[in-house]
Amino acid sequence: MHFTVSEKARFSFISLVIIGVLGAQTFSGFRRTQRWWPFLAYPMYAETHFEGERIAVNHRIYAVTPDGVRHYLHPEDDLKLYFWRHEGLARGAVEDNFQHNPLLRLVKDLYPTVERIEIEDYPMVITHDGPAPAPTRIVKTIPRATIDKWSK
Amino acid sequence: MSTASNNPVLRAWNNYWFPDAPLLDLAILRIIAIGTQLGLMLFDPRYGLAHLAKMANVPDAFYRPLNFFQPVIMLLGGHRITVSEMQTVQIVTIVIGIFALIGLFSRVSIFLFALGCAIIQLWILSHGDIHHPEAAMIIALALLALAPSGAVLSVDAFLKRETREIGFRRQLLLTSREAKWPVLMVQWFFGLMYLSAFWAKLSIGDLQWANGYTLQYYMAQDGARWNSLLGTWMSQFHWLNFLGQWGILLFQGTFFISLLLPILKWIYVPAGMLMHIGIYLTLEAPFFQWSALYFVFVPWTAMLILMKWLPASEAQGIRLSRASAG
Repeated sequence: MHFTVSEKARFSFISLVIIGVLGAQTFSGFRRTQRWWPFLAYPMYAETHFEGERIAVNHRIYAVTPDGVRHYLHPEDDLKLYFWRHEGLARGAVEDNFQHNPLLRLVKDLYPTVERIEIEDYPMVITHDGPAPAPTRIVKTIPRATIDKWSK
Repeated sequence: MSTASNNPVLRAWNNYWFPDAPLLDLAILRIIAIGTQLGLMLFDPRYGLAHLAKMANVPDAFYRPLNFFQPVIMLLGGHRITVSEMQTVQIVTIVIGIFALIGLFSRVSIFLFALGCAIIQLWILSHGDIHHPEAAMIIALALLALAPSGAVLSVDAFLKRETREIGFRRQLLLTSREAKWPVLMVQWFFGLMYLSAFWAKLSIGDLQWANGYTLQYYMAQDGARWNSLLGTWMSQFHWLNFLGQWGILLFQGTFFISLLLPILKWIYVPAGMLMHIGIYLTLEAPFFQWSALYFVFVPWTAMLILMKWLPASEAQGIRLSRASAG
């Protein structure tokens, strides 16, 4: 294959682009960081699940006020969070990850007298024959002291 | 002056990435990629002006500029782009995208369209969540900007026909050594994305991923979450899910082989298309960009020659078809 000198320069540049782009994707594809978008890892649906496990469809968040009333907080209508962000924050809170997690402050802004926050997971488990209903359960209770500490 | 390489590795590299290939395949990739991206920006609420406005509601704590967004911020002297400014960028990008789609001032318009789309996405994703469908499309647009993507099937090509008196169909037979590499790159990007997904299932899934229950779980989860058409129904069949999981691992782990042995594309590409349609129907994961870019695997020129729609001589037809399907 013959190239003129100017073609050679152009194809050398394109070759560098090819190596750079494919190299960046290969490198990012095997790491967990997503900071180098559009070079990403693709770990969607990669976690293993087993029979009997509760299915994480979504979480429901409640603010419990001093009168004992549980106020359901709708992700979009009340918290102004769309699905994935709401789920990320709820999961973070369940795992005691309150740093960089504005959920507690959002709830406190809506209910300044909140006594505790309760988070429920989805009442369903996976079985050999498909999904089956499970009892409702509270997976996390966050007391007022913790809310105050992380919502300053 | 011309030079030829004696280095066999370099020669193989040039033969693979820079063969004399039909410009038509590249032009069709341009129309599909830009058309899809424009369609999403105009008609899909997740990519529209209203979605950009939602970023105003995102608490400041979420805003962490992505690494490739930092140079943009630096060029703007640290200015934080507002919603209305980004909406303006979106409108200008859409207008430029129409130029890029019809192939008017192609080199410049495709470059500016790719740049505009990248900035919009980087800005959105810097507000917290990383989504996967957009990345491959942005890469594809950037590659198209570096190649003669508007050389045929474009207004630029029409204007050239006027001055050079070349017929429309004859023009579609034009070739270039720069026509194949973007097509191959998008194909390789798919191969690498699948390898990444395969690796994640092995490493995160702790080598127990393909147990049947995992896919049943995801089918039930997304069936309930998004009310998908087939998710909950499919989650009832353990052994079907078990086989499906092994099929996915086999497909994602070996897809790249079809890029080295193109004959295998006849198996892998339809299988991949079926997998993505299946994912949409069961898990409701909207990877429209991937589905559109999958058309990069179709050897358009070879098909049109086979259908006798392109006026190629026998020898030319064989040569172009090989370059198109390779």
